[in-house]
Amino acid sequence: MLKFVAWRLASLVPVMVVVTFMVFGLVLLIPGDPAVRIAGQDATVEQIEAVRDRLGLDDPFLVQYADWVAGAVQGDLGTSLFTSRPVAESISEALPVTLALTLTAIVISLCISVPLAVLAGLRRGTWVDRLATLGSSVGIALPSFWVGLMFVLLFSVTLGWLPATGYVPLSEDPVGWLRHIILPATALGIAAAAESTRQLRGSVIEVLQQDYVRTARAKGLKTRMVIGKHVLKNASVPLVTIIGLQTTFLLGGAVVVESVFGLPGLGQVAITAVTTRNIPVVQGIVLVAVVVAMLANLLVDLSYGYLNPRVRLHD
Amino acid sequence: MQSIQPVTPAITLDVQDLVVDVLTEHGWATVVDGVSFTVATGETLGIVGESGSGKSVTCLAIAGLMPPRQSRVGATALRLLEHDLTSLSRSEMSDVRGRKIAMIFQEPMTSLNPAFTVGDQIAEVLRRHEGCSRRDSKQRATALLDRVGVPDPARRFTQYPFEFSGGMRQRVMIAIALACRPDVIIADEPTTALDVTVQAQIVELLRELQREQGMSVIFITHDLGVVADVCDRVLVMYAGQIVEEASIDDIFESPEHPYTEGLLASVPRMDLPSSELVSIPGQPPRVGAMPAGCRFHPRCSYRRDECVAAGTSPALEWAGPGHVTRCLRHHELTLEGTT
Repeated sequence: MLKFVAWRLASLVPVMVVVTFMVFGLVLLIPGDPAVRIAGQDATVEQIEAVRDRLGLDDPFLVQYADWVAGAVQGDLGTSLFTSRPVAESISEALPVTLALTLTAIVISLCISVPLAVLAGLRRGTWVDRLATLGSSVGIALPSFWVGLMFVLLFSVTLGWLPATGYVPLSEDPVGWLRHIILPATALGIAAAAESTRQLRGSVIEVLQQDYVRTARAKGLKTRMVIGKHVLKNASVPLVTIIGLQTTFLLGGAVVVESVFGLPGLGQVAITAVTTRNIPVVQGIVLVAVVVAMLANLLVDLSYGYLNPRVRLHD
Repeated sequence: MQSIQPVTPAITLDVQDLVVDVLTEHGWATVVDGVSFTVATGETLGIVGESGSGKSVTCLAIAGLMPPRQSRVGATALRLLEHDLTSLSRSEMSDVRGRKIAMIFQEPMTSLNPAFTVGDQIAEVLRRHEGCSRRDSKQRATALLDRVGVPDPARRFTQYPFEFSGGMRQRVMIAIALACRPDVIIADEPTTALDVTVQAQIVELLRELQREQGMSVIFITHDLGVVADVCDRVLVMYAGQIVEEASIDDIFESPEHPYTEGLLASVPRMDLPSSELVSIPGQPPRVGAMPAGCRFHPRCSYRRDECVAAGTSPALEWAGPGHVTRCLRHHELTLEGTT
């Protein structure tokens, strides 16, 4: 198992090299000269040249890339072009908010989808099943920002139960944190839940027809053991794949939901950075998003090893 | 029909008038129609018949393993020792399954869960029914693996099903069935999917374990060779009904139903010069489309008008002590057995 983990981690290195190269290169292709922006409209050619020299913008591409990677490895992602605040600092402030939002959305999506999918799979063709199938079609179709706005309208404006905007860190006030995170996370998690329900329902139905489920029943195991142990472990493989893919989409969706709910997450930082062409910040955010997505996929791969013992032995 | 066991020792399993309907595309269809039999303590009862004759469904229904919404099971009596199985709730039935009545299935390759170790799959039966601790159940499961002839049981305990051969997996299935020392083991074609040499080993193991533990065994098979080897008594099923029931000697020496004769004739013989393979012409009837009169008449070479005219299938009749048949003409016919 340890060997499997080490091998998977090592295989991330070449992927990282390719990805960072692309991230760095693509951002430089964005039209507009950052030096001109920083120096201002009325700056002289000499002033612009000075800025360019300070930022190393005249260095060959590979040198710039090498400098950036060398810094990134040590946690230095450069400084913001306008505030000279370290990019790493802005990101490490905003990242926990986005991660909390995404993880809570995944948890909520699982809390909805697992019971619903199991019930629908067990009661295939009944009204429960039809309701779940219809619900997941609707859930996939609803955009999360709209769901978020409806939630604000209902739970904050009309009922006044939960705050519409703002954020409190978990470490300061767990209850306050939950009150602030629950609406955006649910808005974000509903589409994910819809997709997971659909996928898991299908695999539950498939697994229920397997001979080993009949064996488990023949042993006299209680239904909750047959379902919770023998069916779910096998049915989870496609679900885990979906969750891995969803993590990336949820990170993207978080950007939108964060602005609806005014959460100080990566989304806010990203939007500001992109509109002002604050290139070091954009690069830093993309890099962090890529790393998070890759780690999520690593976790998915590791759980395959747990769920399907054959994968583990053939590393 | 009533139980035909003449003077029996204790009856372990008593099944009277079992009827099973399943939901098909065209509505409900009866796949097991009025099956009655008993199994004495320590006895091995064979159930033979072609695929679709209802032999597996009969046993799944007894064990309460038919899917609830897609099937209906009814019986005037279904008794396992002191338990009236018809009156048990689903939860009470699950207490009986695996502890008093255990099953071995045909496909050892797919009957074990690929995601759990073999040892865990044996041990969980002991934890479920006997409240064993993890450590006790592990110890007992290892001993069971040893008993069913799995070499190096302590190491094998921690392995997964895909690391086992078909024969070894079937031994694991037997260990699972045996774990709580059940009163009845239902073996549904336990050797069909195995190599011939392995088949013999598995049959031998089952016989040994039965002698050792004195349990009853229901052996479902279409292999009459295996039946001759292990069974005391045989039920022949056709199109959801029992068509003949007799002791092992009677079935082979003097069958009283044309279908049984056909089955016996279709066993390849190595000892006779005429080596042409014989088969019963035609196909068994489809579910929900039973022929009027005797259900076997479309394929029967002894058929007369009376076999069809009755409209319903003939009743079981005595053909001798402990021997019944569902053939109207059994008095006039002299059917050929094997010796």
